[in-house]
Amino acid sequence: MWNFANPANFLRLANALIPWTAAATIVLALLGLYGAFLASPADYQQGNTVRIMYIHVPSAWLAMFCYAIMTLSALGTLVWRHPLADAAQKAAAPLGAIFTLICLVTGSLWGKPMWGTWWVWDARLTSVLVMFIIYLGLIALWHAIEEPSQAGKAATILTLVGVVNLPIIKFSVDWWNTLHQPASVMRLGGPSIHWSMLWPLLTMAVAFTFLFVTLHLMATRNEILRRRLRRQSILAAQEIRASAAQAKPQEA
Amino acid sequence: MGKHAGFIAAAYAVTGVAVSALILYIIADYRRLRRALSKFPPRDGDSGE
Repeated sequence: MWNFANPANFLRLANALIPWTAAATIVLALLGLYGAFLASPADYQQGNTVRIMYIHVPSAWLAMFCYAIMTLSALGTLVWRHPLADAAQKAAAPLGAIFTLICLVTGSLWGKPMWGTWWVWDARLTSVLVMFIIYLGLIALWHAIEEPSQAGKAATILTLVGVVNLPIIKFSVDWWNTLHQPASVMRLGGPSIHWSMLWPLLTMAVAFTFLFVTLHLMATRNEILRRRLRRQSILAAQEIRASAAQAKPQEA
Repeated sequence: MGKHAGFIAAAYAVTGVAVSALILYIIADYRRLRRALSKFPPRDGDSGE
């Protein structure tokens, strides 16, 4: 396991895995979209609007899953000071921000025809908006501090502070009265959705997960290359300075 | 899709555009980094590509 955490080994592994995870994403997304639009029925109350669920719910799960991955990476940075954990954490933040944005926008587009409003400041919606702001804050933090290890430390602290929001998002529909419906898949007593709607939803969720894995491998690979480029640029600048210093006494 | 077809289409369109933009950005970033790195000689430990 630790062997794959070596950046060079990770690059080899990522290059081998990316085509397979990308292919799995495409196949599962096509199957999920077939289920969402052709195989599953319209809801008896919501009609065809329920088809927004097949992208809204997986994006919400992925938004939270991505934050959980960032928290594990933050622990890897803090406890083991592993450079790959830091790179993985930085690479995950924009992905999490995009999935959270998709969750918020599709939720709003689902809410307008069903609730009669684009937005309400209830616990579920507000806590997800807070997570989106934390993602943006983390991205800004990494861009604001030039030295990657210092930026990583600051981002690690913010990530670990922000993780308190995950249980709030998950249980907000149980703890407070909200307009948002309670959990209907991951709940005690099993899913309350009929199988004809559940299988496309689960298929889309797995497709989104493979999409996240693919993009995270690609983005972490980019982060490793970015750090190599930074190191190469610094070493090249040092060599130029050293050769210039050597040349000066000869000229004199 | 009924009277709410516009909401459904907009939700899928937003998702498609956001995911496509993310994929294109990551691929473009990778190509830019590879191009920039190719200008430097390989050093010890810079393997895996």
